[in-house]
Formats: sequence, structure tokens, C-alpha cells
Amino acid sequence: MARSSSLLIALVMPFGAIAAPETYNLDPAHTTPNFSIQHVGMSTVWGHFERATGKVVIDRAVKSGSIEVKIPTATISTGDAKRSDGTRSRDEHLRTPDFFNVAEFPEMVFKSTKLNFAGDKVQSVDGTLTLLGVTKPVTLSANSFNCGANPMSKKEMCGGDLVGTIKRSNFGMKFAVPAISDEVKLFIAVEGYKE
Amino acid sequence: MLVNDLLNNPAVQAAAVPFIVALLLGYALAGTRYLAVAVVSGLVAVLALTIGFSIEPLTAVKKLILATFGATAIALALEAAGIGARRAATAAVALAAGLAAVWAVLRVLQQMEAPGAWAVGLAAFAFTLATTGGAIAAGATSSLRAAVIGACLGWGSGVLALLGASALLAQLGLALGTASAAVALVQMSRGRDAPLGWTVAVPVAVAAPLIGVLASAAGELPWYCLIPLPLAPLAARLMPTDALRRPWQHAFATGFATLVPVAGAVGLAWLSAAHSSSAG
Repeated sequence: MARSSSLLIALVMPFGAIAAPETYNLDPAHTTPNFSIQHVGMSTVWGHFERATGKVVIDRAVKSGSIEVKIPTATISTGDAKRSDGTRSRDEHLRTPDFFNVAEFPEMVFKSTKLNFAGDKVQSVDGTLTLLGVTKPVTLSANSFNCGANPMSKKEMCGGDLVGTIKRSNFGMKFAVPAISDEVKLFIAVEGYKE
Repeated sequence: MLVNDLLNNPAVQAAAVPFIVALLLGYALAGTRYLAVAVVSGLVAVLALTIGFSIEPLTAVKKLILATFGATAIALALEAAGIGARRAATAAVALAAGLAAVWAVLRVLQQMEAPGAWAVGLAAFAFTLATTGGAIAAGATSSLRAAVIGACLGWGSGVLALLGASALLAQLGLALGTASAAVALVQMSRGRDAPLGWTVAVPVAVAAPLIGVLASAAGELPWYCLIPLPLAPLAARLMPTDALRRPWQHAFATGFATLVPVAGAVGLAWLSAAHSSSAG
């Protein structure tokens, strides 16, 4: 019995060494949370946040991992930062208590609870989004999520696009609904380099 | 569809509906000491049409709303108990409002360095204490005067919030100001003050300085624009109205006096916005 246990352990150990999670720190220059929202039932307003940070942890052998993205809300940009006539700009308005309330909530966070794989590829990510201090479950599709070497620097990296839709009212952001759509489409581009 | 479009119009949400609701309730309560209910109904109306009544997440704006309802309830309870606008009651409500201001901006203060946080917290407390106490004291002997002061402070805080880039805070201030104006109109149309109800001033006396504090701490309003606001109720008290016989004369004289400092605050905010745009 002892010999068979030793043999079993010896057979299993190499596989234990392969199943190691790899951590990739998100590169703020290539990690951009984008969003789009419909304005007064007509055009679509596009916006993004800057200087997002976080990490991707992935273990392809056991098909598990995690993704965390921290987004500074004050960096919001929709292409209307300042107006020469003295009226408030859209970006200024978005930072106020009417919307992102950046003075009280300087950060929003997406944190995964489960990565769903299709073969070797991450297909979708179950997680939570914390916005305005409210945490709600969100599932994002992972588009073109790949890991490999950067063709120029040869550094190991992972990245992809995380896509989904939320209702901002679920997080308490109810101002101007429905004139400004309740539904917000998220498009979070992430890239990170291996630690 | 037309009704939905109307109810989604910010002017309808912040002015028309609060005015109608407060007017109707004002007439119903005109012979009582509880006209404050008509004033606070303006706040209820604008909330029903905009962000609703959920307190989650408990943001600074939600705390402002809770403080306004809470202070009004306390004041009405004191009135029902026959305590009236004694100095102790006025001071208690003003102190509670000052503490509510610090509570409302607590999350913002927690993200600041200690010296700055203490300074902002103390300033918010003192500003709110002065404005709330002054407004209640100024309206203590006349519910018509209290309603007019409330109208001017509410409108003023609403405009300041708008210049500070928060339309929601602006709607809250404008709705309360409009509801106060409706209550004043009720009294003018009846030709007499309501039975002495100092509580008429309480909803706006608490909400208006809180709106100013939030517009500054969480919005874009420069803090110095708020300095003239505590002078508004003082100006109303200093305006001699004893010789004026008719209620509408009282109302206009009080309103004129109150609006001078309010206009000063709005002027500062306007100039600041203009300077900021030309510099940027």
C-alpha cells in the first residue's frame, strides 16, 4: 500500500508543477474601460476612463483564474472636457453627484468570481462591478482573449476585450433616466504583462 | 406619451409639480401649524419624479434628503408638543443641521489630508449652523416671512448648485424654493399668516445650506460663493415690515431683502465660472 501511494504521488507531482497560476499586471496604457450610452433616444455617446490598473491571474491547466480592474472615476472622458463659454462641460457634469460622484467614490472596480473557458480560451467572466459603493453581479464576454509573447518586446502578456451591458440605475445612478439611457454598454480592453 | 414627456422635463420636475402639490397641500393646511408639510411635499414631488426614495447607495445627496425629512419631522413634533420656536429648539435644529452637513460630506473628508479635512468639516458645520439657525429665527414670528425666506434660499441654493455642475442638487433646491413660494402664495391669498408655525422655515433652512455644501465639496462650486448665504435671513430680519399692512407687501419686502445676499452668492458663482472658462 505504501509503495502504491509513493508511485501515485510520483506520477501526480509533475502535473502539480505545471498547474501554476500566472499573474499579469495590467498595463494602464493598454487597459481602457470604454462605455457607450444612448442620448435622448438618438445618438450614442462614447466615453472612456484612463489609468486603470489591476491584474489577471490565469491557470490554463486547471482552467481557473481571476481578473480585477480598478478604474479611477475622475478620469472619465467623453470628448467634452471644457467649454469656452463658461457653461459646464459634459465631463464635469459626469463627475458630479448626478452621475459618478467622483468626490465620494473615486474608484469603481470590476472583480471576477469565475473565468469560463471554452477549450483553452477564456470565453466569459462572471464577476461583480462596484460603482457608487454598490456591488452587483455582472457577466462579461471575453473577446479575443489571448496570452502570448509581445511581438516586439517578447515579454509574456495576456489581454482581450471584456464586453457587457449594465443598468446604471441598479447602482443608484438614476439621474436623467430614460432621457439618458439606463443601459450602458461596457467594453473593457485589458492587457497585462507577466509578473 | 405627452404626460410622460412632460413629467420627464426638468422644469416640470423641479418647479411645476412641486408648486402644484405644495399649493394644494398649503390650502388644506393653511389653518394649521403644520404648513411645513406643504413645503416638504415639494421635495417629495421632485424625488418621486427623479431619483426615487431608495436610500441605497447612501450618498451625500441621500443624506441631505434624510436630514431634511428628519429635521422637519423633529420640528413638527416639537410644534405638536407646543414647544414652538424657543431659542433652545432653534439651536437644537441648527446644531443637528450642522452635524448633518459633516455627516453628508464625511466620505469626501475621509479622502482628504487631515488638516484640510478638519478645515472643510468645520466650515461646513459652521456655515450650515449659521444659515439654518438664522433662517428659522428670522421666520419665527411670521410663517409668511418664513415661507418667503425659504423660497429665496431654496431658489438661490438651486441656482448655485446648477452653477456648481449638479443638476440634481439644483432640482432639489428649486423644488423646495418653489414649494415655499406656493405656501407664501397661499397665505397672501388668505390675507393673513397661518397660525404661528416656525416650522415652515425648517425644510429649506436645513436643505439649502446642505445643497451649497455639497455643490462645493462634491461639485465645482467655489467655497467662497457660499459666504453671502447666511446673510440672507439676517437681511430679512433687518428689513422693517411693521408699517406694511398687507401680506403681499410683507412678502415683497422680505423677498427683496433676502434676495440681495442670495444674488451676491449667485453673482460670485457666475463670475467664477466665467473666469474659469476664460482661463481654461
